[in-house]
Amino acid sequence: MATTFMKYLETTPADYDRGIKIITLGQIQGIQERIAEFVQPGDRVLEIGCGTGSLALLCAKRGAKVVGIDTSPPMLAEAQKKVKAAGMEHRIELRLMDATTIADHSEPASFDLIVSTLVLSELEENTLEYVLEACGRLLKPEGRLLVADEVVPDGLLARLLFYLVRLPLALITWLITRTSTTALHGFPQKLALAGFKGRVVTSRLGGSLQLFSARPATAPRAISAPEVPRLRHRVTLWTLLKDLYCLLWRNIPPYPKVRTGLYRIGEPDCSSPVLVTGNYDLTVRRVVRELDGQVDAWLLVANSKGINVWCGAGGGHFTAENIIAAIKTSGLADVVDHRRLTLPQLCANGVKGKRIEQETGWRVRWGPCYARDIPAYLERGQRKTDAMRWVRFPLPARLEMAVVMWQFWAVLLAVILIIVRRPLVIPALLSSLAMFLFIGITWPWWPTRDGLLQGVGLALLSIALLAGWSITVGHLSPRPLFNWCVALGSLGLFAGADFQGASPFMRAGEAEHFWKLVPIGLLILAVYLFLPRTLGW
Amino acid sequence: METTLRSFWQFMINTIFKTVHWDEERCSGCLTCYEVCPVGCCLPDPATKKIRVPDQDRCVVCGACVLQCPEGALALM
Ligand SMILES: C[S@@+](CC[C@H](N)C(=O)[O-])C[C@H]1O[C@@H](n2cnc3c(N)ncnc32)[C@H](O)[C@@H]1O
Ligand code: SF4
Ligand code: SF4
Repeated sequence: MATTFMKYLETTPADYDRGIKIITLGQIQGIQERIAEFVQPGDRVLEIGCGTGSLALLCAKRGAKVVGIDTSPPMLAEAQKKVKAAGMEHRIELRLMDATTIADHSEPASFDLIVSTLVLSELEENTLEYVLEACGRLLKPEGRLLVADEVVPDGLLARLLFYLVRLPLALITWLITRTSTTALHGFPQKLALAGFKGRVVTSRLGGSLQLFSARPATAPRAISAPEVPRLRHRVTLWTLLKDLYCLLWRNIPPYPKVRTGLYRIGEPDCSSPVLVTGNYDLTVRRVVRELDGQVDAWLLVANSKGINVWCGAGGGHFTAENIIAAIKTSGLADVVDHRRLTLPQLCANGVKGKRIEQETGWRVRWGPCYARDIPAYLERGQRKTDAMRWVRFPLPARLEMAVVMWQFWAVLLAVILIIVRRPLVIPALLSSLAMFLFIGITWPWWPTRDGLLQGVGLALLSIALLAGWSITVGHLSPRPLFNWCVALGSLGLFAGADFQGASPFMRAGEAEHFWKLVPIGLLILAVYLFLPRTLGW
Repeated sequence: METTLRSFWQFMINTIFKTVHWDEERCSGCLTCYEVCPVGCCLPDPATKKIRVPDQDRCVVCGACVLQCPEGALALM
């Protein structure tokens, strides 16, 4: 259930915009108006990451011809609506494109202005450098790059203030929209490296939101040849801590990330396979654990916003554009002489293979679901068996899932009980943990795959156990017995429904169970409130 | 707020009632869907050289097959 709401929120552009407004304290609009003042009628403007199109519209209204690019289809759809409502279709062209491919889609020196607000801070470090260089190529010699973004201010005091203000804001934003933003570090230096001469036009919010203006100063450099770092499987205290963090804190950012780009596993050569994965720290380490010492391969880590590939792709955070960006910026084409990528099968729900092939000419193959099957898969000449193709739900995964599901509710339950009835905290937490674990362990042997029915079974079972115990040892009086039955029964129902909803076998189940649980919950509440009274306890 | 509620409602409806549908006419038998379906809902059919969908209830509505099918032969309805 929790996951239902989360996935939903992650895919709504309206909420994204709202989050941005909160975190910039409404300042972004003024900055965008300031940017539009640089526009001369007839200018050709490129907006990188146009989002819902507010800035593109401002520029178009001042007489520019705007190309707005973004990687998010829902954002672009929202933008298209706004453009249409303003009657600006002839001036604004919206395109689904990643920032790293802009130089492939336009002539060099063809734009007067390149603008971008709150986008560059979302890019990975090496991507940012690449994009700035691409901007240098696309701008006319007298052109201008205008970038507004969150920056980490210089100076200790300013920085302290920055984090003090930002932390609660980020928390609110995250609660409302489940998104968070990052801030730019050392941007002026990066501009200089990419061959720009820049200055700060205006600075808001104590220097944490800045507008940079930059002009091409030197001829753009060629992109330097990459050196490819090697990843090895290591277990240290640090990785164990990270594992624990990922396990307990899975749904809540900041997600530990790996720097995007190309890595070596073993000693690959120019004909070795290229495996792709997301940049969630745990994902990358699991892949490396399975492959190190087994195979020689290239590992291309693409930006999945620090989310695992299945959820990232399902929530629209990991798309073909991210992989295209990784191919472009990693120098991959220089180290192998084939053009074949192997993608994790579990990102097929969001990464469109055909789009990668059309944009880059690299052929896409869908690898196995699980990293541990990769060595066997490569050995078989990249052909999958059905076992590699289908998701499984083995005991360790079930236990892990049980603990993760439980801890989310345990926190809530504990907070409520600490307020209303403190002695119940420990028994409630232990019994709910026992229930989640019970379902996790016995899952394959249930006659039904429907989580709610499993919940009913669990509720009945725990009530029966409780009654048995009460009759033989406990000798509870009716009132507390009744209370315990209701409590354990509802916990059981809930555990069943929630656990099932999170398993990869029944994604649709989450919403369904939520719907059914509401009336059942109300019914239990009614029984709880009125039955003892009618029986005169 | 209203649009948010409405789209949430739509999301619920989709996840509860939708499942995969296959259009035999359009299918070219490339088996991409078989490659990407994580639960074995789309299976190859040697007889017709296309696919078969023996058990729609298995579908977890992940959308992978719909996104990858080059012929637009699959849909969630
Ligand atoms: C925080 S929003 C900013 C939207 C708009 N520019 C504004 O100021 O309101 C960031 C936008 O950048 C887009 N974006 C993120 N990474 C991108 C990339 N690599 N290439 C193009 N657009 C990207 C996102 O889809 C999102 O719409
Ligand atoms: S991916 Fe589409 S065309 Fe290919 S086999 Fe499946 S349904 Fe047919
Ligand atoms: S939507 Fe997902 S689970 Fe359903 S048939 Fe397609 S790939 Fe399989």
